[in-house]
Amino acid sequence: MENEQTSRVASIWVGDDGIARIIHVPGAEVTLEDARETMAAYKKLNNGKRLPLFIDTKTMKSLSRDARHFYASDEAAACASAAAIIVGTPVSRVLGNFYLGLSNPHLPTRLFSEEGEALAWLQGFAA
Amino acid sequence: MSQASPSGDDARLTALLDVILKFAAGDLKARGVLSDDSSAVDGVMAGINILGEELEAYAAETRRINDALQQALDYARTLIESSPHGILAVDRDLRITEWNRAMTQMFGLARQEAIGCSLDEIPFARETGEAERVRAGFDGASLQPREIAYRIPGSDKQSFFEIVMAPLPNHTSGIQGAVLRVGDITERKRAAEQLRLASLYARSLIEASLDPLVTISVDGKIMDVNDAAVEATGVPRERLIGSDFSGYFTDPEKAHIGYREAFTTGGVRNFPLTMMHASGKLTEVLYNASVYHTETGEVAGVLAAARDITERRRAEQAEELASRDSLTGLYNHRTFYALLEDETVRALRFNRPLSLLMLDIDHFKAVNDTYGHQAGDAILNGLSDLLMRQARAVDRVCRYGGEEFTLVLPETDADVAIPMAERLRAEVERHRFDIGGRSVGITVSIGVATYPQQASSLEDVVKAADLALYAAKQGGRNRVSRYAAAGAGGTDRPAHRLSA
Repeated sequence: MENEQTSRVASIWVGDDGIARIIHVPGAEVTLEDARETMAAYKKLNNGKRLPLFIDTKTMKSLSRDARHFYASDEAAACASAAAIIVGTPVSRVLGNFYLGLSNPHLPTRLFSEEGEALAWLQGFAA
Repeated sequence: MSQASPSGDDARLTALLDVILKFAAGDLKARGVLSDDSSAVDGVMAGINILGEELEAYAAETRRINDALQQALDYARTLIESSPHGILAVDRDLRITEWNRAMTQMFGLARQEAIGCSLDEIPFARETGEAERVRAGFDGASLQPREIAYRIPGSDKQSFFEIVMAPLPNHTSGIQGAVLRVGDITERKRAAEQLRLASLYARSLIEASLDPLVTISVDGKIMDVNDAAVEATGVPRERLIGSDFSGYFTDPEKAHIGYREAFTTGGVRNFPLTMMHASGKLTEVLYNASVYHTETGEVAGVLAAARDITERRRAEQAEELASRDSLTGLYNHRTFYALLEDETVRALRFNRPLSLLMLDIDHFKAVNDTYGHQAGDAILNGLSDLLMRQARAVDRVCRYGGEEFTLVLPETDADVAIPMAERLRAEVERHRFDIGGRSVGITVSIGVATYPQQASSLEDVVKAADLALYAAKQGGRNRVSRYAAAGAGGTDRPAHRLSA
């Protein structure tokens, strides 16, 4: 697909709804390097626009501290208008909550367990 | 995802407990291993791991901050200790929180003894009122630097200190205390006092001078004057200072020439000027000036003195009057001897000849008797003029007395003196004197003597010339007689025999 990119831990694509999807592979253990690669892949698709992000972490196994802080940084926030984090397993839920609580991301961010709710919320940030 | 077995749950719970216990024991690196079963235990373990990461990062950051803080403190401590000034800090309760080495050196109180004490307990701060001042500063009083005098216990001399106080702000923009910088300025004060005394001394010298003294700037403005200058100009000091110095002389341009000469050559000596008093009175002065320099060697101005030479001029005039014959204006009898003495000394020293002509008007009594004494005086004046015209610039023409005249001829031997005398005689004989419209002629007799060839002393040469004159008279008048030649006529005796 022309508007799909992949990194070592995720596949990234932009839907017709203008929402970018980041779908992590099962068992992903995301390091800072992985996070940078994923962000770089996303930047190839967004044409410089701040798109709402749909981030599926349901099957993520771990997210390193450096990666958490990178995703919460100004640099990452500057690329997106909002982030909906999809959690499923207890581990992903814990990761998501710590991300929100400790890292204090600089863009509107919410955790969702239902994909439909997440997409509906993100529609509010789509151009 | 597989479901964990009861025995597997136990193992993971045990592992979870193990990680928690390690945390409790302070092992911030303890981490649990997650399984892939999506169990709640895995979630807890993930949370524990994240907490571990954050705690470890927090601890590392805290260590880094503490290290940086310690480094800053060490740096500040080094600065404080290396300061030549005493530095002390107090909190709002005036408790001393800082006391550097310089403070210890100045006041003999060790740092460990001072820290924690109240500023009120430090004799220096208590006795000088500094503690009270700091307290007032906390209450909003203005904190200006101040100098204090204090005798350090055990010292027999008073010391001087400069104290500068600055408030110590806290992180809420309030004041948590104050820092005091204490500088020992005793040496500076003593140097300033010495400078003051030196300045007073110099001022006294300047004021003691009877000569007007002024300092003049590079652009010719008066910068300072003494009382004598005020008196000499009749202008108040405050008006003199800043005014152009040349305005107090009758010839300002000439004054400027002397002033510029001082700059050109470094000084000017005895430059004659005339000062003008505000009343119009003029005073002749000799202007003496030297340039003076700044510490860096640049010319700062001119120190000038104007010496009143009125009295000297009067004395010179009186001396001149006393040395002259009142009728003819020629050197008189007394001056003749003084001049002759000078010339004989010079002649002896340089082994050079000196001749003396002694001249007498022939039958002058008859002139007086025939034409009157006024006519006689006119003859004397006329003859004086004639002699002055005939004499060389180096010759000295004197009225010896009555109708007798002398001519001192330096550097002149008999071979030159005799023709000179003869020329004089002939010129007098040829000359006609105008006496009240009548033309009168006279003749003169002249005796010539030469020193040291014919006389060994001043008296001898005069006597020799006198004898030669006598011989000329005896020989029939209107003639020149040389001393040696006079012997042939009965008076030809050597001068040394005359002096015996």
